[in-house]
Amino acid sequence: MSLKLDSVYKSFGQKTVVDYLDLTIPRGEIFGLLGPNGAGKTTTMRMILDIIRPDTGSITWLGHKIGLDSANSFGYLPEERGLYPKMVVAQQMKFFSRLRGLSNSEAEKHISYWVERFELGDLVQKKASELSKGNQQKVQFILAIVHNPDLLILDEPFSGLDPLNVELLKSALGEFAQQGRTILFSSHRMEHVEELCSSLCIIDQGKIIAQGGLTDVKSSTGRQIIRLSLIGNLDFLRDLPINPAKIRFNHFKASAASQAINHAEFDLPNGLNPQSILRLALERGDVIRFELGVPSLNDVFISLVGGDR
Amino acid sequence: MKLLLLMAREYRERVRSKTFIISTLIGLLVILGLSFAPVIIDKIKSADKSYIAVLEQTGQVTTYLSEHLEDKLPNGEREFTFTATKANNAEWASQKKQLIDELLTGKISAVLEVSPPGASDKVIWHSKQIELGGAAATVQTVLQQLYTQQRINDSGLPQGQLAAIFTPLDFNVQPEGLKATTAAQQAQNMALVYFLLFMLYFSLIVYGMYVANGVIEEKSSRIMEMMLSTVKPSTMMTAKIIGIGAVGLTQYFVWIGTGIALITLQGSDLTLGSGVTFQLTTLNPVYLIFFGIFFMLGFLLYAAVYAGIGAMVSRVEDTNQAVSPMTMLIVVGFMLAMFSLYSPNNPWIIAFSYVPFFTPMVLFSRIVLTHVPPGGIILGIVDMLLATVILIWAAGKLYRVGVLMYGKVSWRDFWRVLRS
Repeated sequence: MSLKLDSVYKSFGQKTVVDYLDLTIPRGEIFGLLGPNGAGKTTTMRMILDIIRPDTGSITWLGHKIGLDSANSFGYLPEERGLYPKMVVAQQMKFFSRLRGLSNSEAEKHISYWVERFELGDLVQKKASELSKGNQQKVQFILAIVHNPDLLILDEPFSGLDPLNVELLKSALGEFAQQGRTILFSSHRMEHVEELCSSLCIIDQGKIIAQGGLTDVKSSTGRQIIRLSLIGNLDFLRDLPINPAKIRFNHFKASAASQAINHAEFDLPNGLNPQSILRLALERGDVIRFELGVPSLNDVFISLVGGDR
Repeated sequence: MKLLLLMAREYRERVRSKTFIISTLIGLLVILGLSFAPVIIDKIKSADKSYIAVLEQTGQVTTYLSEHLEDKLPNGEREFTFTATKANNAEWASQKKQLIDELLTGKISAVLEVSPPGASDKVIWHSKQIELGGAAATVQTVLQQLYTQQRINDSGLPQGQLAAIFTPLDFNVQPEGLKATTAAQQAQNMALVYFLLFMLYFSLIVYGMYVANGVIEEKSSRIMEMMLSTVKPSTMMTAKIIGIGAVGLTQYFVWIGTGIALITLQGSDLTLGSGVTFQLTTLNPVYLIFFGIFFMLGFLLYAAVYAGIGAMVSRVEDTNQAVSPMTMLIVVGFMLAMFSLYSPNNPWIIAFSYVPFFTPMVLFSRIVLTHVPPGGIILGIVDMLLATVILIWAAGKLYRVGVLMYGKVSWRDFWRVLRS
């Protein structure tokens, strides 16, 4: 047990932003903090970093109350870029690393390692305002990890990055987790969460609405999903007792020589045997894929958060 | 440690900025200009040679004027050259016309028509250049003497008594209750105070704005979040204020140092306008120390307020409007100090010199110009320190809450944050 939030409450004026949140994030875990816009994710992160104080409740790291003392073992990537626009990037990196308690030589060593790893090269000799959004994000990420923090808090780390840079970032995060460091991050991109996180929680209006391991959360709705790809007509699905509005079809035209592959994804209705659907499908053509599984995190998120709207 | 890092960054970035380099250079140019001003003004004045044609019956007036008006130009030449044109009543009109023509073509600077026909007491000064207290006035004074002397002579008074009559009154100005022991010294002190007050005024506004803008820049570029996860808001604020204050001091050292070096090199006094010379030897270093103290205290006091206001503003465009009350306060302080130049012992000025916002300028002016008892100086410094501590506490509070507040902030919000 390393990071622990104990009935943390925070309101701004009349508005409750974090509503008695209890959260425990074990050490060495990559933990996803999900929720719609305005759910209280950023406020929660800021409270963990002691940027703002909770009204009630406590936050502890390794059993100690968080504060500026623990700040040097925390790393933070804010949602919006926070760089001095007119300051040269290299100096800026050094300044923030020194601020995080690194010595001059340590700072230089760590910075040059990460600059090389993130392929920034000579860009660090420019002013921050002259860098593209993606490159600024990479700089910002280096600032968050340069002092090898034990707890890394990332608010929307992937925003503005192209797929190649997303991969760079993911590999760095994986490496960090392997070293036993704890990572807490928020994202609206569910595929990143699914790929990276071992456990997660979904909050809405300051309250936890789902929490646990990735598979637990995904199966928490009790829904079963069938994913079917078939060379042939899928119209037979309309005769089954499935809500037609819930079936998602994808029609792909393959090359002219072969027949079209059709995809469908839908909730398995109660009482219906999936094998009977497979048999029906086989009668219509070649089944490329037939999968019985839990809904994607994206679906879970939408049904959990959208359900009460 | 973190405070030092933050201060160093603040200082380094600002001293390297174009704004700083350019403003320092402009200040240096002004100082250079000031120190060379007397030489330049002399050059310009030396071109002001007056050739005056005197139209008269006998030529006596010209001789008298040449003997008694020996004003020298800075380059050592005579300022006035008189040439006599003698004319009797019949020739008068034609001679006058010829001289006026010469005047209009620029060959001579003025025509002095003395006792034209039918008016023995009349003198007419013809000139293309009409100025108050210029050559005309100088010539008038000398001529007046000539005429008075002649009239007294005509009355039959002996020479000895005449000399006694003309002995000038020994009129002296003796400053009392002021620092200066002579009028000239008082003028020099006033010039010093004027100059330093202007620097104080200028720097409080400029560096105050630096602080406010610096805070808003960090807010609008969202650096605050990065910083606040490592340092306390109060540390951030202190670093910013001290860092920028150090930038201001650097600029002063460059300017004042250059100024003193130039005066020393020239080895002469710096003339600031007529009759006011600035001598390095009579400059009391204590005044510069007081200037340093009041600059630092004043800067801390105003910078704290500017930082607090800056923390509540989120857009650079709103800065000017938000800080305008503070700027007004500095202007009022400056005006009070200007008034105190002429009456440093006015009871209102004495009272205002202990109002913390005005103390740095008004009390400083009084310390240089008049006798402020040590208790008064201590009272001024202590009440400023107290006010500064209170304001820094309030600004710290605004800072802590304000720096993460985005959007429009009203004065009521200020009050709410301060009371919470």
